[in-house]
Amino acid sequence: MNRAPQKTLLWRTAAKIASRELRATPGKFLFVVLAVAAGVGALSGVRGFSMAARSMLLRDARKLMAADVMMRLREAPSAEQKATLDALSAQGIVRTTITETISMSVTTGAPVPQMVTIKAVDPRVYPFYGAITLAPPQSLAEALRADTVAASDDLLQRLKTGVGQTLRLGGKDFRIVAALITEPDRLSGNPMAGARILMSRDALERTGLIGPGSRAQNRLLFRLTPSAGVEDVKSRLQKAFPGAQIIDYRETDPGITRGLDSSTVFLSLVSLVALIVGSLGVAMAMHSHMQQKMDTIAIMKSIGARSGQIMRIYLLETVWLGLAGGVLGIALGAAVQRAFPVLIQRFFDQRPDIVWSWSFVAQGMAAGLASTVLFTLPALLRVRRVRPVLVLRREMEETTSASGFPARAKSTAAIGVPLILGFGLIAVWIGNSWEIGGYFTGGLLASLLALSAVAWLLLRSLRWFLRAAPWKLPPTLRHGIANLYRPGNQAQPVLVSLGVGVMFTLTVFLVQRSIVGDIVSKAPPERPTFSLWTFVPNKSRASPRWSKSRRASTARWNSHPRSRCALPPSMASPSKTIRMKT
Amino acid sequence: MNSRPMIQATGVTKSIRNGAHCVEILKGINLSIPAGQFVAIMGASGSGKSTLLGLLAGLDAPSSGSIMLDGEEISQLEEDALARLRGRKIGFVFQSYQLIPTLTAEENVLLPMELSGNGEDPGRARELLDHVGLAERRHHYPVQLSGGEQQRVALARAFMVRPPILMADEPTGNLDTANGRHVLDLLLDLNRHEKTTLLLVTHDRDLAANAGRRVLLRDGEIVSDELQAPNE
Repeated sequence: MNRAPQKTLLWRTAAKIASRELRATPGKFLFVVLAVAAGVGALSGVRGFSMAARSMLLRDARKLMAADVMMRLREAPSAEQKATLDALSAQGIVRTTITETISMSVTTGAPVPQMVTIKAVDPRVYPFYGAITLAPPQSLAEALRADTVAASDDLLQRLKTGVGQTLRLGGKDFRIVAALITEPDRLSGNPMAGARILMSRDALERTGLIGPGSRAQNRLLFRLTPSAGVEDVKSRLQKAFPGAQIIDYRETDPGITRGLDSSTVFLSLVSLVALIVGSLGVAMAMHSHMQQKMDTIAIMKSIGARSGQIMRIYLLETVWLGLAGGVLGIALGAAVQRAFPVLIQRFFDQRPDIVWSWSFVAQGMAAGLASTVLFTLPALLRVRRVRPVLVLRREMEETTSASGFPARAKSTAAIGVPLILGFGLIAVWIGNSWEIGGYFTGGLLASLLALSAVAWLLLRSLRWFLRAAPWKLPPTLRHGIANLYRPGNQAQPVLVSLGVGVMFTLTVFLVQRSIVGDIVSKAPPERPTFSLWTFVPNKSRASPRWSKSRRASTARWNSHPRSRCALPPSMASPSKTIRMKT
Repeated sequence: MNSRPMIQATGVTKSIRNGAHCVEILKGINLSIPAGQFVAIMGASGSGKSTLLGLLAGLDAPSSGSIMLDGEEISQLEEDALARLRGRKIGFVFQSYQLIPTLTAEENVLLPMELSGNGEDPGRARELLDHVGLAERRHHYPVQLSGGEQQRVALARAFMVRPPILMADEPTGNLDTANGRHVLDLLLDLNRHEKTTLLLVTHDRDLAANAGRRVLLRDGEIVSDELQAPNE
């Protein structure tokens, strides 16, 4: 007699039965695989892209800053700070300043002014790394003079103008010498997406837009010499500019990575909800499959199989389906990762490489597998309730369960608690935060409870309706409705799944609306084009005359103090704001 | 014949709840079957004979009373312990064959041994399949076999672990006369060969005539229990 180890044998037979059952009904399980694949694909695609983007940010840090070290300043340097900068220059460290501000621009062809981001550079040295692409191609030093600018394509379209034409900025005319195609440090600058103008610092001076109190951001770019240690330069700058943000090429820009991380967590959680919706489908498919396998389970039990041994078969089926869905999902994720840069290239000039990370593959597979197994738990645990006596007489099965509500509640909790906790842990893992995981789990639990309650009420109402209806419905309709609440049907889980699906779609829509709303609230259409502040009450009369002369309409006069500033005694009077719309 | 009871039922009752009603299927059954005996349980449809077989096999639990199998009290055993006991001590032959559709004939025969944790013995499986005349069809799936062939595979499976007890529920009920006779002959032949205690549930008098003892059930009660000279 061949006495092979018992466990190996049982797993082998379980695998044999499982594989043959799966092969027997491929169509039924194709849906399961696709449902898991969709969720895993979204999850691994988002996380893969995030990792690729992070890796690109680190790899191309010099290019993305256009420098070895970058310092953001909101105030002009003091004399002491200037001394530190001069000392660095004396060591051969080259420095240039980038100034970015927002203003309005008009052309004769488009009288409606357009908001633009102006970026002023020193074209002789900028950029230290990377390259500016202009159309037609030309060097920056040739292109940018005191009376010329390069403008982004979208601005040219909005202003209905083109290269060779003139635009007006700060009351001065500038000739457009090129279309601005790419700039290496686009992400490091003003994050506001939109029309852009690149000009020389002399040109910016000519506009007169920059003066005391102007809302402008300065970035100081440094190119180090081989002998200058980046750590030393950075620490000297940190000491001289304690409040400034200083970044070097060995790290990613915190502003960019923070945004990337938030987007990754949000999109990952959206993907997880997609995975949950898919897993609900998996649960229903497995429930129906197990229903059809009751006889096989009873036969196996009658000839000596324990519940645990039989569960191995269906656990293996679940795991294989989850793995198949996971593998397909990873392939979809790679496609998503490839498609992402194309979709967001307008905002993201650099194209991240496709990064194949085994950790994200493992994460995607694990999330797909865990969600499949978790949602199949109820179906798997039903194996324990199949009575072997079914092999003799099916009609001997009792039609009502002896267990009451407490037992059913206990059984539901035994399945529901690990399921919710399992998804909670996945959310913690994906969000990398217990707080996010907690909110997600709470939301999921509350949603499932609310949807289950609504589904239960709906089915109860149907039952009541059929019984209490004063008229007699046609038999087909009556039986059709009654089938929704008869024992053994899947109406309630189907309703919950539909509810989760609708909730998911609605959540994405609401979040999108919220983001757009946020943008609109920060820059409403009725926002004034510019504001005038006057500190001397009797001079406020000059403003309407000025606006009239410029054919501007006065949107609102606010004669009440809007804010009080700490001013020198000679100017200490209530400030007044005149908001105007041109 | 060994006089030690292989199966003993004392005051066994079984009621099932069907909606709001409680139906009493068996009413205080007392039965003692010595090892090696061939007993036919007879009765009309609904008399409770299959229910009794299910209880004696540990497929179901009695509402009250006690059942001893080979000296072991089984009425209070947990489901998994009962499964182990069935795997070790009982071979089954059912009316509708009850083979696993995704396993071949030989794999079906090997399954009880594998489930009982005694490794596998393909030699014995082939020997049994040869005995029932299906050596050439051992790689066929149940769906590729006729009803008679499926029942012969079920017979081979029932004897695979050399169980001390064999329980058969209408084993020829779904077969035509010729096939039924063939299956019965094989059953009796294997039973003689393996020296098992055979419990046969049937409403067929001709089939029951082969047994050494006949127990007649009516409305959940034993109304007759008599020894007889079996037909050879």
